Amino acid sequence: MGCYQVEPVIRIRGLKYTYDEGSPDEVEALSGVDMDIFPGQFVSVIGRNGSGKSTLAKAMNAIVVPDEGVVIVNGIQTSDENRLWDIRRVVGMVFQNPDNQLVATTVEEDIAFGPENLGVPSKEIAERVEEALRLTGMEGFKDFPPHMLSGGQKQRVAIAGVIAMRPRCIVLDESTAMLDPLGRREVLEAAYRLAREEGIAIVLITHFMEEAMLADSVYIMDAGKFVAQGDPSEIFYKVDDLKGLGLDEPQVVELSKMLKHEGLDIAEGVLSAEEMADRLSALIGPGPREGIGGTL
Amino acid sequence: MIIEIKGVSFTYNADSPLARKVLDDTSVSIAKGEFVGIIGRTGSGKSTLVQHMNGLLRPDSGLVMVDGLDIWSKGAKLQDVRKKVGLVFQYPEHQLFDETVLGDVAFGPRNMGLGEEEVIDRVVEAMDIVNLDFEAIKDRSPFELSGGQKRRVAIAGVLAMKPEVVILDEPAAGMDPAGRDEILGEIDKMHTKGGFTVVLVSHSMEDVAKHAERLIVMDAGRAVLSGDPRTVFSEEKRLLEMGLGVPQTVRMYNMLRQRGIELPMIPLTVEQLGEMILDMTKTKGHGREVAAL
Repeated sequence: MGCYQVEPVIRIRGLKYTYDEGSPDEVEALSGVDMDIFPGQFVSVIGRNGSGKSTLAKAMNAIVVPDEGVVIVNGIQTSDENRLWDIRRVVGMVFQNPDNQLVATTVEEDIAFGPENLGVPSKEIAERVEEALRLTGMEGFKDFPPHMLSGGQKQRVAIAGVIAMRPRCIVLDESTAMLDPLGRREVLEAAYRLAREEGIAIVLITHFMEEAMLADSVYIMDAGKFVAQGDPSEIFYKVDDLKGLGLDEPQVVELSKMLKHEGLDIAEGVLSAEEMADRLSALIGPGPREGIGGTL
Repeated sequence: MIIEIKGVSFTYNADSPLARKVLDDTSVSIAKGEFVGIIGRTGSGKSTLVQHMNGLLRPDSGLVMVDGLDIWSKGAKLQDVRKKVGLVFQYPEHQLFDETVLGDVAFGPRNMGLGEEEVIDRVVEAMDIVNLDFEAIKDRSPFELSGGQKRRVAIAGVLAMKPEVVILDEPAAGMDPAGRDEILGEIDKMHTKGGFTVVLVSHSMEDVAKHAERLIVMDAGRAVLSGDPRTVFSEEKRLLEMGLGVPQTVRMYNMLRQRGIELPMIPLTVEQLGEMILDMTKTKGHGREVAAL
Protein backbone atom coordinates (compact mmCIF):
# COMPACT_ATOMS: atom_id res chain seq x y z
CA MET A 1 0.00 0.00 0.00
CA GLY A 2 2.94 2.30 0.40
CA CYS A 3 3.64 5.47 2.22
CA TYR A 4 2.23 5.61 5.71
CA GLN A 5 3.78 8.37 7.75
CA VAL A 6 2.69 6.79 11.00
CA GLU A 7 4.13 4.07 13.17
CA PRO A 8 2.59 0.64 12.74
CA VAL A 9 0.33 -0.67 15.51
CA ILE A 10 1.95 -4.06 15.04
CA ARG A 11 5.40 -4.66 13.63
CA ILE A 12 6.54 -8.21 13.02
CA ARG A 13 10.08 -9.11 11.98
CA GLY A 14 11.58 -12.55 11.35
CA LEU A 15 8.90 -14.26 13.42
CA LYS A 16 9.41 -17.99 13.93
CA TYR A 17 7.40 -20.28 16.13
CA THR A 18 7.48 -24.04 16.63
CA TYR A 19 4.92 -26.08 18.56
CA ASP A 20 6.25 -28.83 20.85
CA GLU A 21 9.83 -27.96 20.08
CA GLY A 22 12.19 -30.87 20.66
CA SER A 23 9.39 -33.45 20.80
CA PRO A 24 8.56 -35.93 18.02
CA ASP A 25 5.39 -33.92 17.36
CA GLU A 26 7.39 -30.78 16.66
CA VAL A 27 5.75 -28.58 14.03
CA GLU A 28 7.18 -25.33 12.73
CA ALA A 29 4.04 -23.19 12.41
CA LEU A 30 5.72 -19.90 11.51
CA SER A 31 9.02 -19.86 9.68
CA GLY A 32 9.99 -16.23 9.20
CA VAL A 33 7.17 -13.71 8.98
CA ASP A 34 7.52 -9.96 8.42
CA MET A 35 4.49 -7.70 8.58
CA ASP A 36 3.43 -4.15 9.47
CA ILE A 37 -0.12 -3.28 10.40
CA PHE A 38 -1.04 0.41 10.43
CA PRO A 39 -3.87 2.28 12.15
CA GLY A 40 -7.13 2.04 10.23
CA GLN A 41 -5.76 -0.56 7.84
CA PHE A 42 -8.00 -3.49 6.94
CA VAL A 43 -5.78 -6.49 6.33
CA SER A 44 -6.84 -10.01 5.51
CA VAL A 45 -4.82 -13.18 5.84
CA ILE A 46 -5.79 -16.23 3.80
CA GLY A 47 -4.20 -19.64 3.34
CA ARG A 48 -4.94 -23.33 3.61
CA ASN A 49 -5.73 -25.05 6.92
CA GLY A 50 -2.51 -25.52 8.84
CA SER A 51 -0.64 -22.75 6.99
CA GLY A 52 0.03 -20.83 10.22
CA LYS A 53 -2.71 -18.16 10.13
CA SER A 54 -4.08 -18.80 13.59
CA THR A 55 -0.62 -19.02 15.12
CA LEU A 56 0.16 -15.66 13.56
CA ALA A 57 -3.04 -14.23 15.06
CA LYS A 58 -2.05 -15.55 18.46
CA ALA A 59 1.40 -14.01 18.11
CA MET A 60 -0.23 -10.61 17.64
CA ASN A 61 -1.44 -10.43 21.23
CA ALA A 62 1.13 -12.51 23.02
CA ILE A 63 -0.87 -15.72 23.34
CA VAL A 64 2.10 -17.08 21.42
CA VAL A 65 5.54 -15.51 21.98
CA PRO A 66 8.19 -15.70 19.23
CA ASP A 67 10.90 -18.36 19.36
CA GLU A 68 12.87 -16.12 17.04
CA GLY A 69 12.24 -12.62 15.75
CA VAL A 70 10.04 -9.96 17.31
CA VAL A 71 6.44 -8.84 17.49
CA ILE A 72 6.15 -5.22 18.59
CA VAL A 73 2.72 -3.97 19.62
CA ASN A 74 2.41 -0.24 20.13
CA GLY A 75 6.14 -0.11 20.79
CA ILE A 76 6.13 -3.02 23.27
CA GLN A 77 7.74 -6.37 22.52
CA THR A 78 5.29 -9.20 23.13
CA SER A 79 8.05 -11.15 24.88
CA ASP A 80 7.88 -8.59 27.73
CA GLU A 81 5.79 -10.54 30.23
CA ASN A 82 5.31 -7.52 32.48
CA ARG A 83 3.43 -5.72 29.72
CA LEU A 84 1.06 -8.55 28.80
CA TRP A 85 -2.09 -6.64 29.72
CA ASP A 86 -0.95 -3.51 27.91
CA ILE A 87 -0.47 -5.62 24.80
CA ARG A 88 -3.85 -7.33 25.06
CA ARG A 89 -5.56 -4.01 25.58
CA VAL A 90 -4.11 -2.73 22.32
CA VAL A 91 -4.76 -5.88 20.28
CA GLY A 92 -8.10 -7.60 20.88
CA MET A 93 -9.04 -10.99 19.52
CA VAL A 94 -12.34 -12.46 18.40
CA PHE A 95 -12.37 -16.19 17.80
CA GLN A 96 -14.39 -18.62 15.69
CA ASN A 97 -17.06 -19.99 17.96
CA PRO A 98 -19.62 -17.39 19.05
CA ASP A 99 -20.78 -19.61 21.90
CA ASN A 100 -17.46 -19.84 23.70
CA GLN A 101 -16.69 -16.16 24.11
CA LEU A 102 -19.53 -14.58 26.02
CA VAL A 103 -19.40 -14.95 29.79
CA ALA A 104 -21.98 -12.73 31.44
CA THR A 105 -25.75 -12.92 31.78
CA THR A 106 -26.51 -9.77 29.78
CA VAL A 107 -24.91 -8.12 26.77
CA GLU A 108 -24.11 -5.03 28.82
CA GLU A 109 -22.29 -6.97 31.53
CA ASP A 110 -20.39 -8.88 28.93
CA ILE A 111 -19.10 -5.75 27.26
CA ALA A 112 -18.29 -4.17 30.63
CA PHE A 113 -16.29 -7.19 31.77
CA GLY A 114 -12.96 -6.12 30.28
CA PRO A 115 -12.95 -2.48 31.37
CA GLU A 116 -14.14 -3.51 34.86
CA ASN A 117 -11.13 -5.77 35.14
CA LEU A 118 -8.92 -2.84 34.20
CA GLY A 119 -10.44 -0.81 37.04
CA VAL A 120 -12.04 1.76 34.75
CA PRO A 121 -14.42 4.04 36.75
CA SER A 122 -18.05 2.95 36.41
CA LYS A 123 -19.23 6.16 34.73
CA GLU A 124 -16.65 5.71 32.02
CA ILE A 125 -17.51 2.02 31.69
CA ALA A 126 -21.10 2.98 30.97
CA GLU A 127 -19.90 5.39 28.28
CA ARG A 128 -17.64 2.80 26.75
CA VAL A 129 -20.44 0.22 26.67
CA GLU A 130 -22.77 2.66 24.91
CA GLU A 131 -20.08 3.49 22.39
CA ALA A 132 -19.26 -0.16 21.75
CA LEU A 133 -22.92 -1.01 21.25
CA ARG A 134 -23.31 1.85 18.80
CA LEU A 135 -20.20 0.97 16.80
CA THR A 136 -21.31 -2.62 16.37
CA GLY A 137 -24.94 -1.76 15.66
CA MET A 138 -26.10 -3.56 18.78
CA GLU A 139 -27.96 -0.71 20.49
CA GLY A 140 -31.21 -2.08 21.82
CA PHE A 141 -29.70 -5.41 22.86
CA LYS A 142 -28.08 -4.11 26.06
CA ASP A 143 -30.27 -6.12 28.43
CA PHE A 144 -30.46 -9.27 26.33
CA PRO A 145 -28.96 -12.51 27.61
CA PRO A 146 -26.29 -13.51 25.07
CA HIS A 147 -27.86 -16.93 24.42
CA MET A 148 -30.92 -15.22 22.95
CA LEU A 149 -28.83 -13.68 20.17
CA SER A 150 -28.07 -14.99 16.69
CA GLY A 151 -24.52 -16.04 15.80
CA GLY A 152 -23.78 -12.76 14.04
CA GLN A 153 -25.12 -10.78 16.99
CA LYS A 154 -23.02 -12.81 19.43
CA GLN A 155 -19.89 -12.14 17.40
CA ARG A 156 -20.72 -8.43 17.34
CA VAL A 157 -21.05 -8.49 21.14
CA ALA A 158 -17.64 -10.17 21.29
CA ILE A 159 -16.28 -7.37 19.09
CA ALA A 160 -18.03 -4.80 21.29
CA GLY A 161 -16.33 -6.33 24.33
CA VAL A 162 -13.00 -5.82 22.61
CA ILE A 163 -13.88 -2.26 21.56
CA ALA A 164 -14.69 -1.36 25.16
CA MET A 165 -11.00 -1.93 25.89
CA ARG A 166 -10.23 0.89 23.41
CA PRO A 167 -7.93 -1.24 21.28
CA ARG A 168 -5.93 -0.03 18.30
CA CYS A 169 -6.24 -3.34 16.47
CA ILE A 170 -8.81 -6.14 16.35
CA VAL A 171 -7.90 -9.60 15.08
CA LEU A 172 -10.83 -11.64 13.75
CA ASP A 173 -9.62 -15.23 13.68
CA GLU A 174 -12.16 -16.97 11.42
CA SER A 175 -14.86 -15.13 13.34
CA THR A 176 -17.33 -15.53 10.49
CA ALA A 177 -16.74 -19.25 9.87
CA MET A 178 -19.79 -20.45 11.77
CA LEU A 179 -22.19 -17.71 10.74
CA ASP A 180 -25.00 -17.60 8.22
CA PRO A 181 -24.83 -15.14 5.30
CA LEU A 182 -26.53 -12.29 7.17
CA GLY A 183 -24.40 -12.86 10.27
CA ARG A 184 -21.28 -12.66 8.11
CA ARG A 185 -22.42 -9.43 6.50
CA GLU A 186 -23.19 -7.88 9.90
CA VAL A 187 -19.78 -8.72 11.34
CA LEU A 188 -17.91 -7.53 8.26
CA GLU A 189 -19.83 -4.29 8.07
CA ALA A 190 -19.04 -3.61 11.74
CA ALA A 191 -15.35 -4.38 11.19
CA TYR A 192 -15.19 -2.24 8.06
CA ARG A 193 -16.75 0.71 9.87
CA LEU A 194 -14.30 0.41 12.76
CA ALA A 195 -11.39 0.61 10.36
CA ARG A 196 -12.76 3.49 8.30
CA GLU A 197 -14.41 5.61 10.96
CA GLU A 198 -12.49 4.82 14.12
CA GLY A 199 -9.05 4.17 12.68
CA ILE A 200 -8.86 0.75 14.33
CA ALA A 201 -6.68 -1.70 12.41
CA ILE A 202 -8.52 -4.89 11.45
CA VAL A 203 -6.84 -8.20 10.76
CA LEU A 204 -9.34 -10.58 9.18
CA ILE A 205 -8.35 -14.22 9.00
CA THR A 206 -10.78 -16.03 6.76
CA HIS A 207 -11.46 -18.90 4.38
CA PHE A 208 -13.98 -16.84 2.43
CA MET A 209 -12.40 -15.18 -0.57
CA GLU A 210 -15.35 -12.78 -0.93
CA GLU A 211 -14.47 -11.46 2.54
CA ALA A 212 -10.74 -11.18 1.88
CA MET A 213 -11.60 -9.10 -1.18
CA LEU A 214 -12.84 -6.27 1.06
CA ALA A 215 -9.43 -5.68 2.61
CA ASP A 216 -6.92 -2.95 1.71
CA SER A 217 -4.22 -5.54 1.69
CA VAL A 218 -4.31 -9.33 1.40
CA TYR A 219 -1.59 -11.70 2.61
CA ILE A 220 -1.42 -15.34 1.53
CA MET A 221 0.22 -17.76 3.96
CA ASP A 222 1.59 -21.14 3.11
CA ALA A 223 3.79 -23.40 5.25
CA GLY A 224 4.37 -20.72 7.87
CA LYS A 225 5.35 -17.93 5.48
CA PHE A 226 3.78 -15.22 3.39
CA VAL A 227 3.96 -16.26 -0.24
CA ALA A 228 2.14 -13.25 -1.65
CA GLN A 229 0.91 -9.85 -0.55
CA GLY A 230 -0.95 -7.13 -2.39
CA ASP A 231 -4.24 -5.38 -2.87
CA PRO A 232 -7.15 -7.73 -3.58
CA SER A 233 -7.08 -7.31 -7.33
CA GLU A 234 -3.35 -8.06 -7.49
CA ILE A 235 -3.81 -11.10 -5.28
CA PHE A 236 -6.76 -12.59 -7.12
CA TYR A 237 -5.63 -11.69 -10.65
CA LYS A 238 -1.85 -11.97 -10.49
CA VAL A 239 -1.11 -14.88 -8.17
CA ASP A 240 -0.72 -18.10 -10.13
CA ASP A 241 -2.16 -21.28 -8.80
CA LEU A 242 -4.41 -20.03 -6.02
CA LYS A 243 -5.92 -23.53 -5.96
CA GLY A 244 -2.50 -25.04 -5.32
CA LEU A 245 -2.31 -22.83 -2.22
CA GLY A 246 -5.61 -24.28 -0.96
CA LEU A 247 -7.52 -21.18 -2.05
CA ASP A 248 -9.87 -20.29 -4.84
CA GLU A 249 -11.13 -17.30 -6.78
CA PRO A 250 -14.19 -15.21 -6.03
CA GLN A 251 -16.82 -15.96 -8.70
CA VAL A 252 -16.41 -12.55 -10.35
CA VAL A 253 -12.70 -13.19 -10.80
CA GLU A 254 -13.33 -16.69 -12.13
CA LEU A 255 -15.73 -15.25 -14.70
CA SER A 256 -13.33 -12.50 -15.69
CA LYS A 257 -10.52 -14.99 -16.25
CA MET A 258 -12.79 -17.33 -18.20
CA LEU A 259 -13.84 -14.52 -20.54
CA LYS A 260 -10.25 -13.41 -20.98
CA HIS A 261 -9.29 -16.94 -21.88
CA GLU A 262 -11.95 -16.81 -24.61
CA GLY A 263 -10.52 -13.57 -25.97
CA LEU A 264 -12.74 -11.12 -24.08
CA ASP A 265 -10.28 -9.14 -22.00
CA ILE A 266 -12.85 -6.77 -20.55
CA ALA A 267 -12.75 -7.13 -16.81
CA GLU A 268 -9.13 -7.56 -15.68
CA GLY A 269 -8.85 -6.57 -12.03
CA VAL A 270 -12.61 -6.30 -11.47
CA LEU A 271 -13.76 -7.56 -8.06
CA SER A 272 -17.35 -6.48 -7.54
CA ALA A 273 -20.43 -7.95 -9.16
CA GLU A 274 -21.71 -4.43 -9.95
CA GLU A 275 -18.57 -3.45 -11.80
CA MET A 276 -18.66 -6.76 -13.68
CA ALA A 277 -22.28 -6.18 -14.69
CA ASP A 278 -21.35 -2.71 -15.97
CA ARG A 279 -18.51 -4.07 -18.09
CA LEU A 280 -20.72 -6.84 -19.45
CA SER A 281 -23.57 -4.50 -20.32
CA ALA A 282 -21.11 -2.26 -22.14
CA LEU A 283 -20.04 -5.33 -24.10
CA ILE A 284 -23.29 -7.01 -24.97
CA GLY A 285 -26.00 -4.50 -24.92
CA PRO A 286 -27.30 -1.10 -24.12
CA GLY A 287 -29.39 -0.67 -21.06
CA PRO A 288 -30.26 1.83 -18.40
CA ARG A 289 -27.58 2.29 -15.78
CA GLU A 290 -28.68 1.85 -12.23
CA GLY A 291 -27.13 3.74 -9.35
CA ILE A 292 -24.21 1.75 -8.08
CA GLY A 293 -23.45 1.50 -4.44
CA GLY A 294 -20.51 -0.25 -2.89
CA THR A 295 -21.52 -3.47 -1.22
CA LEU A 296 -19.98 -5.49 1.48
CA MET B 1 -40.93 -40.63 -0.58
CA ILE B 2 -38.12 -41.91 1.57
CA ILE B 3 -38.73 -39.22 4.21
CA GLU B 4 -41.95 -37.36 4.93
CA ILE B 5 -42.32 -34.76 7.64
CA LYS B 6 -45.96 -33.76 8.02
CA GLY B 7 -47.11 -30.81 10.10
CA VAL B 8 -44.31 -31.18 12.62
CA SER B 9 -43.92 -28.78 15.53
CA PHE B 10 -41.15 -28.85 18.10
CA THR B 11 -40.35 -26.64 21.08
CA TYR B 12 -37.08 -26.72 23.01
CA ASN B 13 -37.45 -26.40 26.80
CA ALA B 14 -41.21 -26.63 26.62
CA ASP B 15 -42.77 -25.90 30.03
CA SER B 16 -39.97 -23.51 30.96
CA PRO B 17 -39.61 -19.73 30.58
CA LEU B 18 -36.91 -20.42 27.99
CA ALA B 19 -39.32 -22.33 25.75
CA ARG B 20 -38.52 -21.71 22.11
CA LYS B 21 -40.61 -23.02 19.24
CA VAL B 22 -38.14 -24.14 16.61
CA LEU B 23 -40.38 -26.02 14.20
CA ASP B 24 -43.82 -24.65 13.56
CA ASP B 25 -46.24 -26.96 11.78
CA THR B 26 -43.85 -27.63 8.95
CA SER B 27 -43.93 -30.23 6.18
CA VAL B 28 -41.06 -31.47 4.04
CA SER B 29 -40.51 -34.53 1.92
CA ILE B 30 -37.44 -36.12 0.40
CA ALA B 31 -37.71 -38.49 -2.54
CA LYS B 32 -35.48 -41.51 -2.91
CA GLY B 33 -32.33 -40.71 -4.86
CA GLU B 34 -32.60 -36.94 -4.54
CA PHE B 35 -29.82 -34.49 -3.65
CA VAL B 36 -31.55 -31.87 -1.53
CA GLY B 37 -29.96 -28.72 -0.08
CA ILE B 38 -31.44 -27.11 3.02
CA ILE B 39 -30.69 -23.44 3.61
CA GLY B 40 -31.84 -20.96 6.23
CA ARG B 41 -30.60 -18.56 8.87
CA THR B 42 -29.08 -19.75 12.12
CA GLY B 43 -32.07 -20.52 14.31
CA SER B 44 -34.43 -21.10 11.38
CA GLY B 45 -34.83 -24.76 12.37
CA LYS B 46 -32.58 -26.54 9.83
CA SER B 47 -30.63 -28.65 12.30
CA THR B 48 -33.73 -29.41 14.36
CA LEU B 49 -35.55 -30.49 11.20
CA VAL B 50 -32.84 -32.94 10.15
CA GLN B 51 -32.64 -34.35 13.65
CA HIS B 52 -36.30 -35.30 13.26
CA MET B 53 -35.50 -37.19 10.08
CA ASN B 54 -33.71 -40.01 11.88
CA GLY B 55 -35.67 -39.95 15.11
CA LEU B 56 -33.11 -38.13 17.25
CA LEU B 57 -35.83 -35.71 18.26
CA ARG B 58 -39.47 -36.54 18.75
CA PRO B 59 -41.97 -34.01 17.42
CA ASP B 60 -44.46 -32.41 19.82
CA SER B 61 -47.04 -32.88 17.11
CA GLY B 62 -47.12 -34.05 13.51
CA LEU B 63 -45.86 -37.10 11.73
CA VAL B 64 -42.40 -38.34 10.71
CA MET B 65 -42.44 -41.10 8.10
CA VAL B 66 -39.34 -42.95 6.91
CA ASP B 67 -39.78 -45.31 3.99
CA GLY B 68 -43.54 -45.30 4.52
CA LEU B 69 -43.42 -46.04 8.24
CA ASP B 70 -44.48 -43.68 11.04
CA ILE B 71 -41.28 -43.86 13.08
CA TRP B 72 -43.02 -43.02 16.36
CA SER B 73 -45.81 -45.57 15.93
CA LYS B 74 -45.95 -48.65 18.11
CA GLY B 75 -43.81 -51.39 16.70
CA ALA B 76 -41.47 -49.06 14.80
CA LYS B 77 -37.85 -49.45 15.87
CA LEU B 78 -35.67 -46.37 15.97
CA GLN B 79 -32.67 -48.60 15.39
CA ASP B 80 -34.07 -49.50 11.98
CA VAL B 81 -34.76 -45.86 11.22
CA ARG B 82 -31.15 -44.94 11.97
CA LYS B 83 -29.93 -47.71 9.69
CA LYS B 84 -31.90 -46.08 6.90
CA VAL B 85 -31.10 -42.47 7.69
CA GLY B 86 -27.52 -41.59 8.61
CA LEU B 87 -26.79 -38.20 10.12
CA VAL B 88 -23.40 -36.49 9.97
CA PHE B 89 -23.35 -33.71 12.57
CA GLN B 90 -21.50 -30.43 12.41
CA TYR B 91 -17.83 -30.95 13.27
CA PRO B 92 -18.33 -34.75 13.34
CA GLU B 93 -14.63 -35.27 14.03
CA HIS B 94 -15.34 -34.33 17.64
CA GLN B 95 -17.12 -37.66 17.98
CA LEU B 96 -14.27 -39.93 16.94
CA PHE B 97 -13.36 -42.28 19.76
CA ASP B 98 -11.61 -45.46 18.64
CA GLU B 99 -7.88 -46.12 18.76
CA THR B 100 -7.72 -46.86 15.06
CA VAL B 101 -9.35 -45.52 11.93
CA LEU B 102 -10.58 -49.01 11.10
CA GLY B 103 -12.16 -49.42 14.53
CA ASP B 104 -13.94 -46.11 14.20
CA VAL B 105 -15.36 -46.63 10.73
CA ALA B 106 -16.25 -50.27 11.46
CA PHE B 107 -18.06 -49.43 14.70
CA GLY B 108 -21.49 -48.97 13.11
CA PRO B 109 -21.50 -52.02 10.81
CA ARG B 110 -20.07 -54.24 13.59
CA ASN B 111 -22.89 -53.05 15.85
CA MET B 112 -25.34 -54.09 13.17
CA GLY B 113 -24.11 -57.66 13.71
CA LEU B 114 -22.58 -58.09 10.24
CA GLY B 115 -19.86 -60.66 9.58
CA GLU B 116 -16.30 -59.33 9.70
CA GLU B 117 -15.75 -59.79 5.97
CA GLU B 118 -18.82 -57.74 5.13
CA VAL B 119 -17.74 -55.15 7.69
CA ILE B 120 -14.33 -54.73 6.07
CA ASP B 121 -15.88 -54.53 2.58
CA ARG B 122 -18.10 -51.74 3.76
CA VAL B 123 -15.27 -49.89 5.47
CA VAL B 124 -13.14 -50.07 2.33
CA GLU B 125 -16.01 -48.84 0.17
CA ALA B 126 -16.95 -46.02 2.55
CA MET B 127 -13.38 -44.82 2.85
CA ASP B 128 -13.01 -44.91 -0.92
CA ILE B 129 -15.95 -42.55 -1.39
CA VAL B 130 -14.35 -39.95 0.88
CA ASN B 131 -10.91 -40.48 -0.71
CA LEU B 132 -9.19 -42.03 2.29
CA ASP B 133 -6.54 -44.64 1.59
CA PHE B 134 -7.67 -47.71 3.55
CA GLU B 135 -4.33 -49.54 3.62
CA ALA B 136 -2.35 -46.43 4.47
CA ILE B 137 -4.35 -45.24 7.46
CA LYS B 138 -6.53 -48.09 8.74
CA ASP B 139 -4.25 -48.82 11.71
CA ARG B 140 -3.44 -45.23 12.55
CA SER B 141 -5.05 -43.30 15.37
CA PRO B 142 -7.71 -40.99 13.96
CA PHE B 143 -6.49 -38.32 16.38
CA GLU B 144 -3.17 -37.92 14.66
CA LEU B 145 -4.74 -37.21 11.26
CA SER B 146 -5.28 -33.74 9.82
CA GLY B 147 -8.58 -31.97 10.51
CA GLY B 148 -9.91 -32.76 7.03
CA GLN B 149 -8.98 -36.42 7.28
CA LYS B 150 -10.57 -36.73 10.72
CA ARG B 151 -13.79 -35.35 9.34
CA ARG B 152 -13.67 -37.87 6.49
CA VAL B 153 -13.19 -40.74 8.92
CA ALA B 154 -16.30 -39.60 10.78
CA ILE B 155 -18.29 -39.37 7.54
CA ALA B 156 -17.05 -42.79 6.41
CA GLY B 157 -18.36 -44.21 9.70
CA VAL B 158 -21.86 -43.12 8.70
CA LEU B 159 -21.52 -44.31 5.07
CA ALA B 160 -20.33 -47.74 6.23
CA MET B 161 -23.78 -48.29 7.77
CA LYS B 162 -25.08 -48.07 4.19
CA PRO B 163 -28.06 -45.89 5.01
CA GLU B 164 -30.51 -45.01 2.24
CA VAL B 165 -30.22 -41.34 3.14
CA VAL B 166 -27.12 -39.45 4.25
CA ILE B 167 -27.77 -36.11 5.93
CA LEU B 168 -24.77 -33.80 6.31
CA ASP B 169 -25.03 -30.71 8.52
CA GLU B 170 -22.49 -28.11 7.34
CA PRO B 171 -19.88 -30.69 6.31
CA ALA B 172 -17.45 -28.07 4.99
CA ALA B 173 -17.54 -25.70 8.00
CA GLY B 174 -14.11 -24.34 8.84
CA MET B 175 -12.41 -25.89 5.82
CA ASP B 176 -10.21 -23.99 3.41
CA PRO B 177 -11.58 -23.49 -0.12
CA ALA B 178 -9.66 -26.41 -1.59
CA GLY B 179 -10.78 -28.71 1.23
CA ARG B 180 -14.31 -27.47 0.76
CA ASP B 181 -14.29 -28.31 -2.95
CA GLU B 182 -12.86 -31.73 -2.25
CA ILE B 183 -15.43 -32.64 0.35
CA LEU B 184 -18.29 -31.41 -1.83
CA GLY B 185 -16.89 -33.45 -4.70
CA GLU B 186 -16.99 -36.48 -2.41
CA ILE B 187 -20.59 -35.73 -1.48
CA ASP B 188 -21.43 -35.61 -5.20
CA LYS B 189 -19.78 -39.02 -5.46
CA MET B 190 -21.95 -40.36 -2.61
CA HIS B 191 -24.95 -39.35 -4.65
CA THR B 192 -23.90 -40.40 -8.15
CA LYS B 193 -21.65 -43.38 -7.50
CA GLY B 194 -22.75 -44.46 -4.04
CA GLY B 195 -26.45 -44.14 -4.88
CA PHE B 196 -27.23 -42.43 -1.58
CA THR B 197 -30.06 -39.97 -1.16
CA VAL B 198 -28.24 -36.86 0.07
CA VAL B 199 -29.50 -34.02 2.27
CA LEU B 200 -26.99 -31.18 2.61
CA VAL B 201 -27.49 -28.43 5.19
CA SER B 202 -25.37 -25.42 4.24
CA HIS B 203 -24.82 -21.69 4.71
CA SER B 204 -23.15 -21.41 1.33
CA MET B 205 -25.51 -20.43 -1.46
CA GLU B 206 -22.75 -21.10 -4.00
CA ASP B 207 -22.29 -24.65 -2.75
CA VAL B 208 -25.96 -25.62 -2.82
CA ALA B 209 -26.43 -23.91 -6.20
CA LYS B 210 -23.64 -26.00 -7.64
CA HIS B 211 -24.44 -29.36 -6.08
CA ALA B 212 -28.07 -29.79 -5.04
CA GLU B 213 -30.96 -30.75 -7.35
CA ARG B 214 -33.58 -29.22 -5.11
CA LEU B 215 -33.51 -26.65 -2.33
CA ILE B 216 -35.63 -26.30 0.76
CA VAL B 217 -35.57 -22.90 2.45
CA MET B 218 -36.31 -22.74 6.17
CA ASP B 219 -37.47 -19.56 7.85
CA ALA B 220 -38.75 -19.20 11.42
CA GLY B 221 -39.39 -22.92 11.83
CA ARG B 222 -41.06 -23.53 8.52
CA ALA B 223 -40.10 -24.75 5.09
CA VAL B 224 -41.19 -21.68 3.13
CA LEU B 225 -39.76 -22.38 -0.32
CA SER B 226 -38.89 -25.53 -2.17
CA GLY B 227 -37.84 -26.06 -5.73
CA ASP B 228 -34.94 -26.47 -8.08
CA PRO B 229 -32.11 -23.99 -7.37
CA ARG B 230 -33.05 -21.73 -10.31
CA THR B 231 -36.60 -21.33 -9.06
CA VAL B 232 -35.52 -20.69 -5.48
CA PHE B 233 -32.76 -18.24 -6.39
CA SER B 234 -35.11 -16.31 -8.66
CA GLU B 235 -36.51 -14.90 -5.39
CA GLU B 236 -33.48 -12.79 -4.45
CA LYS B 237 -35.49 -10.15 -2.61
CA ARG B 238 -37.34 -12.65 -0.48
CA LEU B 239 -34.15 -14.56 0.33
CA LEU B 240 -32.42 -11.34 1.40
CA GLU B 241 -35.34 -10.54 3.68
CA MET B 242 -34.83 -13.94 5.27
CA GLY B 243 -31.18 -13.15 5.97
CA LEU B 244 -29.96 -15.34 3.13
CA GLY B 245 -28.65 -14.40 -0.26
CA VAL B 246 -28.04 -15.71 -3.74
CA PRO B 247 -24.83 -16.89 -5.38
CA GLN B 248 -22.76 -14.17 -7.05
CA THR B 249 -23.65 -15.58 -10.47
CA VAL B 250 -27.32 -14.97 -9.72
CA ARG B 251 -26.56 -11.44 -8.48
CA MET B 252 -24.81 -10.72 -11.76
CA TYR B 253 -27.76 -12.18 -13.67
CA ASN B 254 -30.12 -9.83 -11.82
CA MET B 255 -27.84 -6.83 -12.31
CA LEU B 256 -27.61 -7.52 -16.03
CA ARG B 257 -31.38 -7.67 -16.11
CA GLN B 258 -31.56 -4.25 -14.49
CA ARG B 259 -29.27 -3.05 -17.26
CA GLY B 260 -31.61 -4.36 -19.90
CA ILE B 261 -29.80 -7.61 -20.68
CA GLU B 262 -31.85 -10.77 -20.42
CA LEU B 263 -29.80 -13.96 -20.15
CA PRO B 264 -31.65 -17.12 -21.25
CA MET B 265 -31.71 -18.56 -17.72
CA ILE B 266 -30.40 -18.10 -14.20
CA PRO B 267 -26.78 -19.27 -14.10
CA LEU B 268 -25.90 -21.50 -11.16
CA THR B 269 -22.20 -21.74 -11.88
CA VAL B 270 -19.57 -19.44 -13.34
CA GLU B 271 -19.19 -21.80 -16.31
CA GLN B 272 -22.88 -21.44 -17.14
CA LEU B 273 -22.75 -17.66 -16.83
CA GLY B 274 -19.60 -17.46 -18.95
CA GLU B 275 -21.09 -19.65 -21.69
CA MET B 276 -24.22 -17.49 -21.86
CA ILE B 277 -22.20 -14.31 -22.16
CA LEU B 278 -19.97 -15.79 -24.84
CA ASP B 279 -23.04 -16.91 -26.79
CA MET B 280 -24.54 -13.44 -26.57
CA THR B 281 -21.39 -11.75 -27.83
CA LYS B 282 -21.27 -14.17 -30.76
CA THR B 283 -24.89 -13.55 -31.65
CA LYS B 284 -24.36 -9.85 -31.35
CA GLY B 285 -21.22 -10.01 -33.50
CA HIS B 286 -23.17 -11.99 -36.07
CA GLY B 287 -26.01 -9.49 -36.03
CA ARG B 288 -23.56 -6.73 -36.80
CA GLU B 289 -22.19 -8.54 -39.79
CA VAL B 290 -25.67 -9.00 -41.15
CA ALA B 291 -26.43 -5.35 -40.60
CA ALA B 292 -23.23 -4.36 -42.40
CA LEU B 293 -24.24 -6.39 -45.45
